[in-house]
Amino acid sequence: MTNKALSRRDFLRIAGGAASVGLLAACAPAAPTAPQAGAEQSPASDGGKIVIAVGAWALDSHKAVVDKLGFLDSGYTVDVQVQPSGDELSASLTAGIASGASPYDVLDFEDGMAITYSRSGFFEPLDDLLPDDFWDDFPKTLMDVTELWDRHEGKTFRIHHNFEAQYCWYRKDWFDAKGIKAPETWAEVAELGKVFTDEANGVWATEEGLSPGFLSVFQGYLTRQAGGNIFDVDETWATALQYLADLIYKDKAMNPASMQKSYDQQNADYTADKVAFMRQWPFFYEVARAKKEWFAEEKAVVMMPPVGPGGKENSTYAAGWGYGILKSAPNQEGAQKLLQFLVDKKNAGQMALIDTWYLSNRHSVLEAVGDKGMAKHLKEYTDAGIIGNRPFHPKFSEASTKLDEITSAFLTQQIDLDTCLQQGKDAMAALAA
Amino acid sequence: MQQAASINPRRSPHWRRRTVITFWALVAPVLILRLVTSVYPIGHTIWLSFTNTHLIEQTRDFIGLDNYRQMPQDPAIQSAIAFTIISVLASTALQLLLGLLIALMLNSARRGRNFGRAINLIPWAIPGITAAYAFRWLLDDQFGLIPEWTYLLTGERPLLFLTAFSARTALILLNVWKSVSFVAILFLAGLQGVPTEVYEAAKVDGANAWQGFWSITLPLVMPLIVTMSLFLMIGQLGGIDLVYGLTGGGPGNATATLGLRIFQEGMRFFKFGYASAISVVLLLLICVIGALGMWVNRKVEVNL
Repeated sequence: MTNKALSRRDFLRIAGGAASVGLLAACAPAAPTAPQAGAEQSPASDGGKIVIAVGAWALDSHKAVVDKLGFLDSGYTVDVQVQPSGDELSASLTAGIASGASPYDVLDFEDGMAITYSRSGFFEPLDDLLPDDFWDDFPKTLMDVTELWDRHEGKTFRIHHNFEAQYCWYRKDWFDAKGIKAPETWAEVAELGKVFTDEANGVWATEEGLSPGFLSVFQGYLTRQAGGNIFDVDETWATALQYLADLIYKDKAMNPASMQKSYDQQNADYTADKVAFMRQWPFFYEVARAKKEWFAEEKAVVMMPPVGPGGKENSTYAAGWGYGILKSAPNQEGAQKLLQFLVDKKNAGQMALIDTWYLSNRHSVLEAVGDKGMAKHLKEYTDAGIIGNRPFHPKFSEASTKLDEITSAFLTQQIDLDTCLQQGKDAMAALAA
Repeated sequence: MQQAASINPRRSPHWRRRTVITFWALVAPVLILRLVTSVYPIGHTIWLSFTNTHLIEQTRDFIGLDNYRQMPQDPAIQSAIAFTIISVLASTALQLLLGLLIALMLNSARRGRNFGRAINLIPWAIPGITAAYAFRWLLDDQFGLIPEWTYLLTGERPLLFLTAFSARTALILLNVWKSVSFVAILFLAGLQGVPTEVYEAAKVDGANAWQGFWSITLPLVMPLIVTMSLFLMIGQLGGIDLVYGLTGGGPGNATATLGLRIFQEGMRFFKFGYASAISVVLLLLICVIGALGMWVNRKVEVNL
């Protein structure tokens, strides 16, 4: 009889064989895949694909940079991807690097991540990739920033492509209509509550993005204006926090909803005619101009930051983003070529002409951009001697988050200032232990 | 002996060996899968909780119970445990109550039940993080629909994230809105399993609608309520998407949950040892609630 029923022995034999084949197939190295239809290719693609992850706001400009400045002629394909926001990026990098397969080759990243990632060994040292005279292009202020934020144990792991101070913008048209000048001191800011705030219509003298993750930036800025460093959690910090609380609750100058706003929400309110002046990073320059139906020069004029008890020289601080090459980057050679291209002295100035995102005070950049766009204001702030270093902490991310939470509890009246100060001291002491 | 084996082949050593091999061949894949995906990670997490593993500081030393000793001194963890329990209990109670109400309405609808069921499921189908970010804008004081409607009705624009109470309430309500539709669908399935004859008999005996619900519907869906409350509580204990997207744990640490703390300590600060210890506490919490739920479930089944 040929039509024999399958015995259990046969079943096990077949099933076992199939499982073994499946297992072997799963363990075998993946065969090279054919390029997908529509995938971005360079004219003479032989160097492979380089993946660079950037902030969403810098996606188009990075595409323009690699295209217009000729990197694609080198034979590489560049896949410019939007990186996830901070926490998700950390999660994906941690998992990727732990498994030996970084999701990106080159990363554009900010200061807080720079500290965390460099100490975690996520990045390749870059010094050997740079020409001997590379650092001659960096002025002292930028070298100070580089030393503090971009180097660890004598090795450079990130190279700044921007150097951005926090600027103040104001509605010159509103101030002119009221016949008053832009505020120059903390006291003058507090007075503006009476002038501009109209709660019923949701209009405020000033507003901030102070939701979790954003608050530490502004309290760092104010503490610096008070003459101190946020991570010292001393009386200057307390002075700054009391001033901020007064702006919100006593003077009614700052929108209390700032506590729940991100920078996007803050910008949206400004461009919806709800805010008379505000502090913001330089990216607002492009944001304001992108609102074509709203924008007029007198609606977003850059002013000098108000001076606090710490004096004019402590008025603002600069932060920055820069490029690094990830450990276990799939295309190390390509990543090195792309990074060399992006930080090259000749290209740096051209990049700053493409977008404000690449503006720094590198000599080559300032020479190329002259007085255009934000470069004019960077020069004004630099000449006024008001840009300082960002407050540094070796556990920057954790320290910032702890102070964020404590300050937020104070500003939403869950704890008083003394408790806030004590909790801040305890938190910093615990981190130092 | 040979004769006996031929009479009852199931008692032969050969048959037993084959049975054992078959058993392991069938069970082993699943067992290996569970060992790799559950037992090993849980075991490794428990081990990590006794170490000071820190990705940035490059440490990985055994420190005994130090991480567990640190937790009672960490106000952020105490607050997270308290809010996690409060939010899970409040959310589950509201989800069950509203879910049952919606299910009763859908069950009594003569027309459009399928349409209602489909509409009802929309919030559940929206990814949690998307819903959270959407509600952040919906609650924005300048552009948000909800403050605008409230302003039109009361003349006040609520700022829900400025006090611990209102932020917690907003988060719990968002959680309820997100999951209640799924609960309602499960209740609806349970209600449709109740024979109509039971209600008809009760009606003949003079029972009104309320008595019918109290004496028939509720006891019959009680095992479902217990089972669902168990699943809801366990599922929500480790939840992170809504709190991450809506409040980020603020104001202060008023809405931070254990899940968010684990994420922060592990993935933001890279303190894998401490994050693992918090995970173990969360695991214990889930085990306690699970055991409690199973005990109640058994009691309910016995009472029926």
